[in-house]
Amino acid sequence: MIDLLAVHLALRNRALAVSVATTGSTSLSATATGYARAAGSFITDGFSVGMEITPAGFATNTVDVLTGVTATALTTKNARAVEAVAAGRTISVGFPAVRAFENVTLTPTSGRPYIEEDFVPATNSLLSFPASGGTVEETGLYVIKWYGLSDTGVSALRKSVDALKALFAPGTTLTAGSNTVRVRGDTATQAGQIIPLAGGWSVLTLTIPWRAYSVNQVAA
Amino acid sequence: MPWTGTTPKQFATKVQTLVPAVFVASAAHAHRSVQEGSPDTGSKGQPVDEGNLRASIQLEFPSRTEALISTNVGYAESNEDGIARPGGGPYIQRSSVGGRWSFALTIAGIQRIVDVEAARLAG
Repeated sequence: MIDLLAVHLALRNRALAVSVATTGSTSLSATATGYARAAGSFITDGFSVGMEITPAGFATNTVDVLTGVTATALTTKNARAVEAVAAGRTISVGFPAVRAFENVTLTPTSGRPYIEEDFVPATNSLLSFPASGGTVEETGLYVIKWYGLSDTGVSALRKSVDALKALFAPGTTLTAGSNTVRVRGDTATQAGQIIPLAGGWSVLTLTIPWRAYSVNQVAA
Repeated sequence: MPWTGTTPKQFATKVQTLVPAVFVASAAHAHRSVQEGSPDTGSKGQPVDEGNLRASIQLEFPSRTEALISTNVGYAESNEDGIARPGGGPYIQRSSVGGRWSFALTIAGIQRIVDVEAARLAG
């Protein structure tokens, strides 16, 4: 029997590793309204309005949301403390910091993207004989609902969920305890439609069908 | 020794008969999976309070090669994905019967549905 907790955590940990956009380690400055660079392009690096950024290497590394993006400047929702240009800094977009993982109550923060997840075990079948030592197949869904900010266009949400989808390409295998969980290929990972909601959010759902095999153990 | 097995013509006739039957049976099974749940897909079916949602899940055949499973109940979408509308956030299921993702699980399990129905009808 597969360890479903291990499957759940393997899928979640895979999602947590998503990288939507990043400057990589480079020379950046903090301005009163956001961040700036002299070389390279924030646009080319994949940043879009509505994304939640995580700075690193600055004196203040507060998570914030982008309200403007040009090649050389990022505008943030909140004012920044000015810091002169220095090397070895990074600005990146990953999994939103506000997360409603299963069975944890969350009150979303206005103006911040957030995540909900559903782990849905479905079928469980013995595929081979004898029963003891036979192969058991279990299937299910892992669903991630990415709540982006409304009125920011399609780029932030689509790029974010596309990056997540790329992590769950058909055939992707993840270690789940002593077993392996695979992203199904016969019906593969699907991104849905952007659904506008009240409250300042729009949601985009990613559905990941998975399959896991384990050795059946019949208790004495 | 004379040949006593199925001739190619008999086989073709059997397939021609079975294919539409498997299609209709699979559509009915998918409808049941969405509505009431199915061990073959893992769907738990629709939640039940007064039964309106479950009764609203309809199966139609727009053509000989299409089956359409639908509902006209507005909150069906929120029961499916757990997203509260219009405000967002979690949508609390109050029924102990049924569950989320019945449509998605049925879609993910459609090949198994077809396999089950084909095996049943082929005997």
